[in-house]
Amino acid sequence: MKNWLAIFGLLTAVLLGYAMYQALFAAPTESTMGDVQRIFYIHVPSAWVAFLCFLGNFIASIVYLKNRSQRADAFAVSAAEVGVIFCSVNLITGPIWAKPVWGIWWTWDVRLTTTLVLWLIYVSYLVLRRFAAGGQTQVVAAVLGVFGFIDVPLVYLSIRFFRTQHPQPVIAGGENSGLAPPILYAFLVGLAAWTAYGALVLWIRYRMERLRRDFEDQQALRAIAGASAEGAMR
Amino acid sequence: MTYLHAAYIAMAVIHLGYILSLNARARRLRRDIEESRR
Repeated sequence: MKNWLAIFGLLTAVLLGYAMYQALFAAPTESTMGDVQRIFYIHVPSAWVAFLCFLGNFIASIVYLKNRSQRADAFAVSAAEVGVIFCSVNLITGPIWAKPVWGIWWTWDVRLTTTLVLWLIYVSYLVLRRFAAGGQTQVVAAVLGVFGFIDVPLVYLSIRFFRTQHPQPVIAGGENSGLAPPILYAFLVGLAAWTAYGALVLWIRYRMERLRRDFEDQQALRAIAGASAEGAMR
Repeated sequence: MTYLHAAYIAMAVIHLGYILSLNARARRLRRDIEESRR
């Protein structure tokens, strides 16, 4: 298992290096925005990986609610955490791109607002997991994971249903959308690289969560066994 | 520094920060496991 992780990590590092080369050097400079458009190669893949992680959290939450699987719960919390990291990158790179292109850092249009709400939902999820006391925390978190996911399609569809400051979709956006082939290539390489990196980090985080839970279970069992032995001695 | 630099640096800081936080948590967990075995 550890070998597979190392191999996957190495492949991901190579792919990320190639994606950075494509994004910063190989891809042509966009004619209207100039070099700042290269933010696109990290901004959009970050949103994509965040969506995938939140989808993972959604599915794992349903599985947990159905059969109380501890593995599903460990996956749900890991996916939410990694998703928040990628969503943060998306939310920070967006305004840095917006300022030189739109002239403003932020506007409360539907795409930006729903994305911020999405980030807040999953930050709340993590805060709930970390600080709530009581036996129902996992169930409440799973319910939040299921309902919170409703915002993902809203974010995705917002630029299709509403007129927004945020640009209309350039991929799968209809007749007048699309990217020039070298830009599309750099984008797809970036998408693959960041997806692989997201999967790698999620894998590591999930393994760590499982290990922590196993350790805590063992500690609890040991404490119970110790208390029973003490009781028998009296 | 251009906006492009700022965006890539921000991205790197977030990811590096998260990796370091994961590493710190893994070390703490490993230390706790080793201590419990003694």
